[in-house]
Amino acid sequence: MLLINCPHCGDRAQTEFTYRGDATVQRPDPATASQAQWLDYIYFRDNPCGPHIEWWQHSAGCRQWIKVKRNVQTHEMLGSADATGEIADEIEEAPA
Amino acid sequence: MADIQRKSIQRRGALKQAAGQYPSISVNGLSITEYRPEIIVQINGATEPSALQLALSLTGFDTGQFAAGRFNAGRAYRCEDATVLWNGPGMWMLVCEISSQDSEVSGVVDELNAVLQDTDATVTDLSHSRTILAMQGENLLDFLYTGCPIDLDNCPPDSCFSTQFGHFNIILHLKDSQHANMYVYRSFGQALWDHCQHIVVTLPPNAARLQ
Amino acid sequence: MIQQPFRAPSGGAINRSKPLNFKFNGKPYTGYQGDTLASALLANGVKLVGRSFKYHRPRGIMTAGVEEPNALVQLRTGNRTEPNIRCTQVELFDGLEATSQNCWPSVDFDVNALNNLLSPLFPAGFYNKTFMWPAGWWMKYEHRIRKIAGLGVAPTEPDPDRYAKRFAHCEVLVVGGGPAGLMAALSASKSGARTLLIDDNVILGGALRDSTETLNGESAMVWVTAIKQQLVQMENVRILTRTTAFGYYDDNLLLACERVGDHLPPLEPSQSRQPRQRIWWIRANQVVLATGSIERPIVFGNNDLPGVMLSSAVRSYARQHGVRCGDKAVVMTNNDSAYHTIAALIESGGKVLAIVDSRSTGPGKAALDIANQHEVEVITRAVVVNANGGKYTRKGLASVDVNSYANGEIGNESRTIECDLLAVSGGWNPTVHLFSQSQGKLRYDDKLACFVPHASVRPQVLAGSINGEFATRNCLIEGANAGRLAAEKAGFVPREFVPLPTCDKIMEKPIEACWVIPVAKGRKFKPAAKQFIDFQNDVTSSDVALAYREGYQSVEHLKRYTTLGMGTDQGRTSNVNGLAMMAQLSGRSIPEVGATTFRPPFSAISMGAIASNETGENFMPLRRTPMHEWHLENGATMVNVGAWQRAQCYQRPGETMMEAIYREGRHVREKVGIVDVSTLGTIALRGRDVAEFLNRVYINKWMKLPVGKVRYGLMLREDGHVADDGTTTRISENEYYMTTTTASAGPVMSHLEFYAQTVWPELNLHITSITDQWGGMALAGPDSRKVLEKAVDASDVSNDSIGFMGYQEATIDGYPVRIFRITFSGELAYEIHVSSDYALSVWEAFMRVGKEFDITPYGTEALSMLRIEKGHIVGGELDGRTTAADFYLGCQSFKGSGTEPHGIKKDGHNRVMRSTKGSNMSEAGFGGMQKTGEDFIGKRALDRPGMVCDSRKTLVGLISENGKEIKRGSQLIEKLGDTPPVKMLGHVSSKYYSANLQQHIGLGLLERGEQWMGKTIYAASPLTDTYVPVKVVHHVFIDPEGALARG
Repeated sequence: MLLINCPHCGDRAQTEFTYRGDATVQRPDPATASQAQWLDYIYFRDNPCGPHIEWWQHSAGCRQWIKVKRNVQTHEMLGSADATGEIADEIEEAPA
Repeated sequence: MADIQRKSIQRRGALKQAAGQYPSISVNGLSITEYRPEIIVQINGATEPSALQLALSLTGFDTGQFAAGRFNAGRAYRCEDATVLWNGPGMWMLVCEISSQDSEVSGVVDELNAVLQDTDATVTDLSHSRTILAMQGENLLDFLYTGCPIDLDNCPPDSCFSTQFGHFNIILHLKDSQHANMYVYRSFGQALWDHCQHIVVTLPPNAARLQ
Repeated sequence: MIQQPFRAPSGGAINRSKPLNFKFNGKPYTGYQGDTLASALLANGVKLVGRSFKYHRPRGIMTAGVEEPNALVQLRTGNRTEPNIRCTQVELFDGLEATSQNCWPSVDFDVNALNNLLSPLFPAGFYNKTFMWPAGWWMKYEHRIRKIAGLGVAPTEPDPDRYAKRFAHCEVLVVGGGPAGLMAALSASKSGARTLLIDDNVILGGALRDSTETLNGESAMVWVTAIKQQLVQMENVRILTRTTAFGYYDDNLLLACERVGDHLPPLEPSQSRQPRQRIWWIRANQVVLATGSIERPIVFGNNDLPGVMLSSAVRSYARQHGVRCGDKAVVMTNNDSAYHTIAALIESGGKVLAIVDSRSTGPGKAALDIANQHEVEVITRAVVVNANGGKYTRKGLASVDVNSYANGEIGNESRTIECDLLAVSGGWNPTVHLFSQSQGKLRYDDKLACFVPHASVRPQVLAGSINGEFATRNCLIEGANAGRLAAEKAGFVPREFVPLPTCDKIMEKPIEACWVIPVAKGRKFKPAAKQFIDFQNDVTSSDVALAYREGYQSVEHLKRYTTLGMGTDQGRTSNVNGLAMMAQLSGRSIPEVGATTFRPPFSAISMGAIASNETGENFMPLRRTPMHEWHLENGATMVNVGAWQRAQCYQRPGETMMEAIYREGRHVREKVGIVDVSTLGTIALRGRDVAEFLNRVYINKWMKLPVGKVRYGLMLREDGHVADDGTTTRISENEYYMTTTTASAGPVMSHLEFYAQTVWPELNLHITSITDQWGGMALAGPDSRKVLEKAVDASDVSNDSIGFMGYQEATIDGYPVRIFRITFSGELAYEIHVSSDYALSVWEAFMRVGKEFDITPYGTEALSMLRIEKGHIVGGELDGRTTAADFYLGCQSFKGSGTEPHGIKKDGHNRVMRSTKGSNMSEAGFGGMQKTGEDFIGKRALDRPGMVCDSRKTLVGLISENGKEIKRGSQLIEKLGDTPPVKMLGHVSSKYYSANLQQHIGLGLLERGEQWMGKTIYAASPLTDTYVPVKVVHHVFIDPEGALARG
């Protein structure tokens, strides 16, 4: 059971959170994005074996969505930030 | 919302109770009773201390005491008849008892909205949305640790956590290591009560700390 | 017959003033407080304890700990019985009852011992090669094989005991209470850090409990007691004994099982409230692993005979329990530690005939001194080749064959020694299970002949014999350092150093690896004695050789092909021997063969402990509406909808359930009914930008919704498929009130929060769940307005005042209420929402004033029937594969052809179906629902041809043509009689018997649904062999114009 650092509430047990997925994905501008860009946004995800930035919601806590950087192979926690924040040493974001 | 005389209408909470009796548990040194404040209001978007101060000016809080920046995450603040609990960034839950002098409670939400209209904060009435259990005992932490995964040792007084107690999502107001209020969604109220009764008998007798 | 013939007259850490009575296989025996079941059985001379898994060979007690492979018993009886319990870990209590497993009729005479004679037919992997043909016979004899296989018997009655769970946090967790662990705990505690010390035995001390060495000039256990006293008095220290740490998880979370009451006699349920076991969930900043090491045996012929034991076990029984494991003993070893067993055996009244040492250089000086001091013959460069049973009974050791041994080969000199006990030591394996679970890397040490920890990944420190440090002095030093280091890493600096006790300095000669003794030569006419590697699963050295020959050479294959290491002992005494043998056979080094993965739990955990307090009603908390008790008091049958309890129907005396449901459904359309809808999700949205936000999450337009109006909304996922539907009302300028379906309340909330917080954080709005703040009830039927008029205190609820999709606030009996004119049943209806603590009173008010109009409560079943009659979509239709257009809610409305009335007459109402635009409240008489131009979630995904093509499955109504029920989930096919594969045109998503139409109806999703109007197709359910002819009709069966709702 992971120990996740919520930037608002501090260290909390994984059971208080809900996982969503890749947080490097950004919703393209619906007015200008091509269909290929749009479908990329909906369906395609990188799958790195190593550090990964992901969305978790502190659903049993402050209800805030947070970004968590975690090594998906070793589960080592490498940092967290709030919904609009940045984690230090962020990996390169996927193109929109 | 029309003005109403709340005293003439009856509030019926989530816990089963025999007529005229309050449900209560007192086993192995831990006692649990229901706490029934009149008002619970959620204030959202109060990211500036001034918004919260404006809201609290309607209550018994001496807001002069709270200098800007004194409202800390993870804490609860109390005055004689009100408590304000931190729930998240800019999110505060105001819990008030109405003194018996007040025969009329009208439009609390509207008053708060009026006071906050120049800010980004909003107010939602949650007065009926929670069942609250008041707990006390020397073995309170042992009891809480049967379901709460947070480190509750050495907490500052009036710490406040939105967390879990077993499968229940709760707000835990830990006043000190022997007194706490546990807030749960009203629909879970009876289930939480039954759960507490189920757990409390497995605590060591004589209110002793484990080992 | 002397009582307890193998109990020494004195010695052992037992309480001889407290005798305990117990039964084994029905026979009564006596032991003492402080005994384990194993030590008590040995004291009573009980050598035969069970029969082995496959060959049913007689087996006895081999070890004194968690590594025991043989002595598994069925413990206790009735509802407390537990199978496969190791005798070596059962604390004896008065009245204990245990029986042997896997033998019939008795352990002494076991019919299935026949398997031993047939053993050539049952080598490793035999079941992969047999029972193939004839296939049809498998079902006939499979259950017989199942009866023969297996060990204990599972309980059949519910467990009456309580179990508990407890979270704990500390800076330093020390696992293991031996010399290293005690020093670590003491050292860490001096810093003020919260220190938790756990040990799986009753008494702390670890290996010191078996030792006669001195610390600080006194016996080792005196030192242990002194350390414990110091620790117990410190506020920041907690000690848990009888507690096994069994799992090491992420971020230094360890789970440990505390045996709170296993050693106490079982109490009656009314008495015993204390938990029998408790699982601790420990989150530690730093972990010190001081888990010690476990001795391993050497593999030779008949090494499974009762009377062959681990040398350290013989010491334990002597020192801890005052039990003599045999009268005439031989010791076999490849290292110095076994020499200490000589003294222990003699203390307990036994005689040691010889010690057989396989090493080329013989014993170390200190070891040799012990042997000489006790006048024990030392036979060097020799091994035991075979153990032998008696002439007439093979059930116990009677003699051993000793051969000379050099360079891995058996020599020519041999002799036989008569003995009843053989104490074996093949070396020690550090207990690295938790370390490996935490992803620590191991390496094989050639000098120590064992695997040792090499690199940690988690915040942890290792100390003691887990590192391959077998000398006590080194364990103490490592422990002290580990505790201090762990505390420092956690941010606590020790205020003082812990003094090291003085201890004996023993120089030991190193071990020489000796795994499997080659099969003895010169036994041409007798079959070679079996050499057991895995005792529990009956895996022999020839099985390993077979695996090698058949190509199963990787350690993973070896394990699974032979089942080596897969028993309840998880190969503690067998894994390393097995892979050493495979290394030898395949010409590889041991590290090249590798090791299998260590997984939790370290040792077996009872299911009760895992369930802890979450059993029965506490398994899943139930959500109750404010009217819950009223439903129960009024005859409702409740059903679980997710975590909620809802009333399904209200059966009257003499009614069947279906009769009640049909009555309720008819009554709503004829008069008036009331249903509890409190479970629907409600969400409060407040702020300046709520309308803009709603415009982006719903497919329709929201910017101009007037205050006091309700609008139906449909939400899509980003991939364009429908996620949920509901209504949203503008209560005041910046306050909106959204409803969702019961099941989607949570997901929709999170969905909205995600977009508001991460995608459009610039919008000013706040979202709060208020499902629990509001109770809700729907009043529905032709007379619903009359009931409402009577109920409200002083408000105008006429059609002019609150029209269809209107909203109004009022009071009923003084209670403030919110009235929404919306309908799910299609009848004239109102949803009344009330603050939860007032809701029951308002419900009672409706029942009271509605009596005059014959109001009846109705439940979820009638609700289903009513909504299907109106073609309303719910979860069955919103299965993640459907779009708004599939329900004619897209940019265009229903374009169906065919106008056959199907003229169902009922009570004078001509419910004629015509193909007009849909009339469920969703379309509300307008054109398409979906807005064009502005962005909303899911819009861009709808550009794809597959989302809008003509051949999509669209919503249709279905009427059974032969009076038979339409099965939900049936596939819709054009005609019967085609050879498979038959084209599936769609499926049935909902169905009910309509009491109002007196027909079996359903809703379905059908390819080009509009083109099938009026035609008959088939609802096929091959699994139940049902094929129902159904007529395809418009999905709104009743009142397609929607006049009733708007009246």
